Amino acid sequence: MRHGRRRITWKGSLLVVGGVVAGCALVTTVPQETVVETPFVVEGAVGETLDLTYADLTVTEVRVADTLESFSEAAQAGGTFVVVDATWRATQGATSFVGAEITDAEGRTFWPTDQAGCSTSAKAQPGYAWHVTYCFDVPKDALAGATVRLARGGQTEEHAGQRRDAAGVVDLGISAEDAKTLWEATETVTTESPGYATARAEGSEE
Amino acid sequence: MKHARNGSPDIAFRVGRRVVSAVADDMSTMQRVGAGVVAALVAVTPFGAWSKVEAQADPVVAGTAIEVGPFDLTVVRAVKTGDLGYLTPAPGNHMLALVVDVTNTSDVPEYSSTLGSAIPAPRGVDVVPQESLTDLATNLDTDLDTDPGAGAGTEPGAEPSPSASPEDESEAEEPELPPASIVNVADATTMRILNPGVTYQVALIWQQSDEFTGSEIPVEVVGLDWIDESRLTLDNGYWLPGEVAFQGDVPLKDNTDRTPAPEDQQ
Amino acid sequence: MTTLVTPAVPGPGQDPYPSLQPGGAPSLQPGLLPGSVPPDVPAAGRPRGWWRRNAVWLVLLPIAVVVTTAASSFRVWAFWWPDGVHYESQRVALGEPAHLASEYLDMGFDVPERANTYVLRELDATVTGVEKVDELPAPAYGMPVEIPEGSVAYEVQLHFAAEPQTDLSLCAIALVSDDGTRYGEAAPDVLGNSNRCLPDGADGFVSEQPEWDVSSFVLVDPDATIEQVRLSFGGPDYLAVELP
Repeated sequence: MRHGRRRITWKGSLLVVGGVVAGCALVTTVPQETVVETPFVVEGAVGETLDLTYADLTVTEVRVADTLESFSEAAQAGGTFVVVDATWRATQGATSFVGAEITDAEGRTFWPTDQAGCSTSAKAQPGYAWHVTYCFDVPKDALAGATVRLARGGQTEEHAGQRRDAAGVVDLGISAEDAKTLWEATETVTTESPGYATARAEGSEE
Repeated sequence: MKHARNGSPDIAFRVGRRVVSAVADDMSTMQRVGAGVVAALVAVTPFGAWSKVEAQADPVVAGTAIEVGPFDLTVVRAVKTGDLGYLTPAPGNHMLALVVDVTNTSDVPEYSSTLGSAIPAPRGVDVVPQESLTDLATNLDTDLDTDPGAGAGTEPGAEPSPSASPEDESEAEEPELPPASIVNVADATTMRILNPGVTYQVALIWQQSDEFTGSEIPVEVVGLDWIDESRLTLDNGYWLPGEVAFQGDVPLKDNTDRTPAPEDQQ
Repeated sequence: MTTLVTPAVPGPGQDPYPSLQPGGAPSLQPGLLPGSVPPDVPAAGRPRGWWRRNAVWLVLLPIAVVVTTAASSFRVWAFWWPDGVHYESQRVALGEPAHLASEYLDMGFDVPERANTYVLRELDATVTGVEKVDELPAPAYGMPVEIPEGSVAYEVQLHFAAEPQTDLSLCAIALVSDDGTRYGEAAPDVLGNSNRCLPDGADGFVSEQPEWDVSSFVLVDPDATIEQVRLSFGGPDYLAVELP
């Protein structure tokens, strides 16, 4: 170790400043978020089965409703309810499916309601397909071009639960004209409680 | 080690002292005091020392929209009733409902509790206070001792006017008032999520003692500040209730003699 | 000419004044007149290299690495290890009995006098059969359950022997297929039975008989090949029963 007062040299300062600059440059140029945080998004359409590694996901049906009814409760939409029926088939082990979110064409996001027997999450094990109904209250201008994003990881805190994990994004297939008619329709949907998925007839059985 | 430590802080200190001594050396004591005060004022400026001066609450008027955090809200009316859906007042109390039209104007859903944090329970109008943890503990204790069958939740409400007791025991400490139960007026279901762009009429509901007979309730709406990342907890992305931004008296309708909920009188 | 200064103790194999050329005039430090002695004689000895000067820290470095790794890895044993089933403690063949013994913290739900004590759970378990079945029996509670479309059902038969009052909560019977999929690992099972290790309809989570048989039903993908039965009580260890 050298003794005496340490000098501030041009060389030393340059080394420090250069190091800091290089570090900043690295942090800003290398897109860390995309490396560390981007989920593996699997895209599909209604009726398609998506392979999310930990589960097979199928959005079986998309409906709209002004009123949702279950045996204990009726819920009225502030906008209109988008009712998304989906089946989960776990492929690795017992899994909780926490993420459910609709994104509209503008990028606004909507979360499901737990009113009137609708689910906001699901649990399933391998060996069977589990049917769940998600209900999202959305405004009129959110219908056209909306997509639903379902995953085992939650979407709160900027999809923190889905980092480096698969998420299914399904186009609801609502065009601008569809949106108009869907908005004007005054449907009532009787929700089904989650259960084993069967090749069900159109509509709800109970 | 010793040498490594007295690198730059030493220099900063010496430079600072040089500057101070260069400025202060040929000053009188009065000048020094004045300069010190000016420096202190400058130093506290970034910490919001002056923001309080402009914090002046705007009025709350029924029917006029105000903007609070992510919400556009309009106070519609205040009603006192008996039962409200699944909410039943304890004997000696009634339900106080503040009906509000609310729209989430942001791009992301908000929990209804965020709305609840913006509209605290009206103060000074005998809203039944929240059971404090110590109260709860004593309740549990007495329950265990006497009869476990009695509901711990309903008992304290029925105790001899709990709203009056705080005034008796202490004048300094105000009892903590409970957050509102938030119910969708259209279908009497509990609101949990407020999705963007959807307008709801919701009722914020508290229990109020029957002793209150006034015809107005003071409504305060607290401003919500967006916290990107909290310096204290490092939590990020939430609305923090701040200062009271709007306040006003809202006339109170008495519907206690009617059983139906307020939704049928639009 | 000789040298002006002779070192009192010559350094080991090293001339303390490398600038002195043997047989020549010594080159002087600047500012020194010829013939004068340099005021501050540097210590004798070879200038130590970087590795020597930092020897202590170099020795401490691997120790520090080990200590910091250990300190930051506490989560592995504090959170990850106790949570989940990931340690195969025994492996037996179908029909072969296995003696299981593990300690757990009893909450005293079923046997109040054991509350908040560590209890050794000891039992003998035998998986006597794993068979595909065509229908599920009527559950103890609730409506009969049909095998859902796109699934097949397996019946796992087990024989247990343990002292009465043995706590069997968190019992999990999972079927593992050749691709590693774990079927039926979470409670309740397809019949709504929340404790698979006790006879159907038993109340509480402790055994009542010294020996008993259990039938557990698991839904499985039709194309799966079941290779193993796993029996566990909350983990982290489990018993693996290999199927023929």
